[in-house]
Amino acid sequence: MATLAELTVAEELAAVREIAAARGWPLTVLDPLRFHLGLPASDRSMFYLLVVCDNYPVQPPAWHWCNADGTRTDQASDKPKGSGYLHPSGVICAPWNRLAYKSVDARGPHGDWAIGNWQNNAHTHGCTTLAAMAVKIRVELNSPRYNRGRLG
Amino acid sequence: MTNPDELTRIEGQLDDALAGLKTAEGLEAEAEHEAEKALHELHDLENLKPHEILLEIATPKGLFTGIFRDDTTVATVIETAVEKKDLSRKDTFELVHGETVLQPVNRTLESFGLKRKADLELVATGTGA
Repeated sequence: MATLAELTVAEELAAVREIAAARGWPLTVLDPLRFHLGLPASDRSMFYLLVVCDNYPVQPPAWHWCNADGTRTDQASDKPKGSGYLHPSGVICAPWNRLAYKSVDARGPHGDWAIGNWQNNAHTHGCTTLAAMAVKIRVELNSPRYNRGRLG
Repeated sequence: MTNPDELTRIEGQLDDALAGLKTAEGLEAEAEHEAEKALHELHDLENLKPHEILLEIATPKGLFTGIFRDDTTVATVIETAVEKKDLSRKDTFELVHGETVLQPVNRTLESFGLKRKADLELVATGTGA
């Protein structure tokens, strides 16, 4: 029997798939709880994310920067250099990213957020679906907050 | 007989080559997609009336496609997309075109240089925590 996380991801991935197909973003669904997504930046480089959704939506997904085939995660050379959501720590700094929580990941900038409250966190700003998160990251990679380069 | 260091070096080269291949495949798929999209757009644009713009908007609930007059304000487009995609009215959204945030929202589509066809993103406001 499918879990709540699997059902939610299946439903929300339909929207991600629709947008990715229209925009030419490479998307690979690895299993019911993980997918690999490529997003273009303003300097025409591509950034890739491995998205892990176990316990979603009780907990937010983990958005790992990764390489083009998803075999290597959280390396500086795969992470955009920037500010705001594109935090210098190398994790996407938003309540909708599990890695932003210090309680989950030591690099997480926020020890002050409660992960169970992520959807009501004032900084979530309506980013409560996988498509909203993906589009937001794409927008950040094309904003002045992206410094056109990589952390390593 | 090959020594372990040599093997490790060769494995590393193989990994790099595979990653390069994957990147090249991604770029090829992107180019194919662009060509296919251009053909579709050509067809769509043939059916547009003068002063109309075809907008394809990536929203938190998937794509919204709509035809608007070029003197439509950004606020009206946002309102329409929010209504059609049944997005929460408690959230504040903004439209983004490439690197440009379409603000202030009382400006028209035309005033941002949009013509005939544009891909936009509808995102909740906020620039990071």
